[in-house]
Amino acid sequence: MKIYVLGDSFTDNLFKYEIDALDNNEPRYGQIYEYVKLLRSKNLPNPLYFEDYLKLWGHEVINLGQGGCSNYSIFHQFSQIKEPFDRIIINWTSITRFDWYHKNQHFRTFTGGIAPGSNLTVLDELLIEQGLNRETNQTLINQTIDLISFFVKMFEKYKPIIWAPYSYNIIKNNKGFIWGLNDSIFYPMIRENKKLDIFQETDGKINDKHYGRYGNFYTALIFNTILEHTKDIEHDGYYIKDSELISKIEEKIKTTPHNIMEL
Amino acid sequence: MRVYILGDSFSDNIFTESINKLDNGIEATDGIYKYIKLLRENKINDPLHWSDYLKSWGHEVINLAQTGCSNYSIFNQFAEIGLNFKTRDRIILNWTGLNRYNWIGKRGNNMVITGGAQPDYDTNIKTKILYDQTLYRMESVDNPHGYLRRNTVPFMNYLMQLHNNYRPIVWAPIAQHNVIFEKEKYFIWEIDNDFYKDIIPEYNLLTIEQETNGKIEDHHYGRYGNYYMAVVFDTILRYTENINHDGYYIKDDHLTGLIVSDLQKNKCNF
Repeated sequence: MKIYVLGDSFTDNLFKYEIDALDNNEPRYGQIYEYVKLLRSKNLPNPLYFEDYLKLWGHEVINLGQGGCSNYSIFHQFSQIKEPFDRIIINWTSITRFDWYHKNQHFRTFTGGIAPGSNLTVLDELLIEQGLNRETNQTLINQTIDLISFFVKMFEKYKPIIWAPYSYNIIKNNKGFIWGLNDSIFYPMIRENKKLDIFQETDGKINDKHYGRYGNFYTALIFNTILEHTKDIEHDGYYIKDSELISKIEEKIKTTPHNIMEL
Repeated sequence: MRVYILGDSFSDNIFTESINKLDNGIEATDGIYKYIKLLRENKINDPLHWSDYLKSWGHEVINLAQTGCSNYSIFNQFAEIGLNFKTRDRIILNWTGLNRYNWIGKRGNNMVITGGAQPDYDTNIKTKILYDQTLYRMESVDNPHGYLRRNTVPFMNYLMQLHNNYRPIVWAPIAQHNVIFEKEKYFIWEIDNDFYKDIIPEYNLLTIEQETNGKIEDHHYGRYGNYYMAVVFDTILRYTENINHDGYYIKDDHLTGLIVSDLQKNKCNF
């Protein structure tokens, strides 16, 4: 299947950048870089993103994900989709994120984070406050849901899968939705559920909440099961209400070997 | 034919609210209110919005436009249309300033920062930050490498493509934005574009400010602007109703010729 994947850093293949940098002896900083380096120092294979697993399992994946972006940028990613393709997987990001423009074309997405110990400027305070105001604003939530629903409907024939690794509450009733790994449904099924993200897997040595090797493997497994299950059938897109599908996912989670070696 | 109207205050029927206020003895101070009041004082009929003309000429109008909104809100207007397309449905959309953005206030109030001079710009740092943001956004549009130009504008065009079956008409009442959109499918010039300069006798009376000789400082279209804009839209709607058209209206000499002829034939007698 030819699959487009859209979203933020949970979709953008963060490992690939760091692996390439390490292969090319480019000095880099950041937690993902340290993670890949740590694995290599233990003679472990490079980690794989869920995109990599889907490729390994025979899919063609076009990744439009963009680390640190806002939902607006994810909407923009739709304009890069070129037909023909078979399926689409979209991870929505936090509603608190928004785009901010600076002098001289400098652009960033405000993600809510300010480095600890920073001296906050008035701008920082204003942006932090805006992030908080956005979190609970019902109009914004409704508008975001409406636009997400619009795109899901627009791409209905491609049976979209939508997910949000953390703030999934606003989309959980939407067509196409599937739970993330930390949700109470899949979480107890996963043997290594205490090692899903990098922070957990490295026992707190590396402070990064993106999925590590286990999180990516199980995410890929869930997607692949949905893709295969719905491949040749008419499906209403309400995956979480399809008990046969959820059972299949459970079986796959419990029986598929990942061959990931302990850190 | 159902015509969906999307956009900001240039598409929202801004006259209705003020007419209702005047009918019900409610005072207001905005330019539109003053304009209608002025017309009434001079025993002149209430003005019609271009969407009113389309209705009176037989179109079914569904107006989803929203005064003072941002393009982000206009994206949401597409969601309101949904996917209930019927043959012959059309869309007329005006993009608003790309410098506008949504901002949520402390009390959860939804605001749109539209730019424009602010009285406390020099004394309130937060006002300065929010206002400067509109300038930086405009820079991001004007510069071909700016984020808005490279990403948001293609997304806007993409949304139009997704609605090809509606054979949309797209316009931008901001001259600066015409440069961006005029090469795109479905674009038509706004009525105060130079194209109409020698065609419309009241070319210098199109906006409220022009028509009232500066008495009312409001740049929205008044009676003339709305009437002639409606003529342009109606001509395009009728001309393209039963033919396959590629949507490049301004490159279609026959269509632009027809617009000229319709504008000349259908002079208004205000």
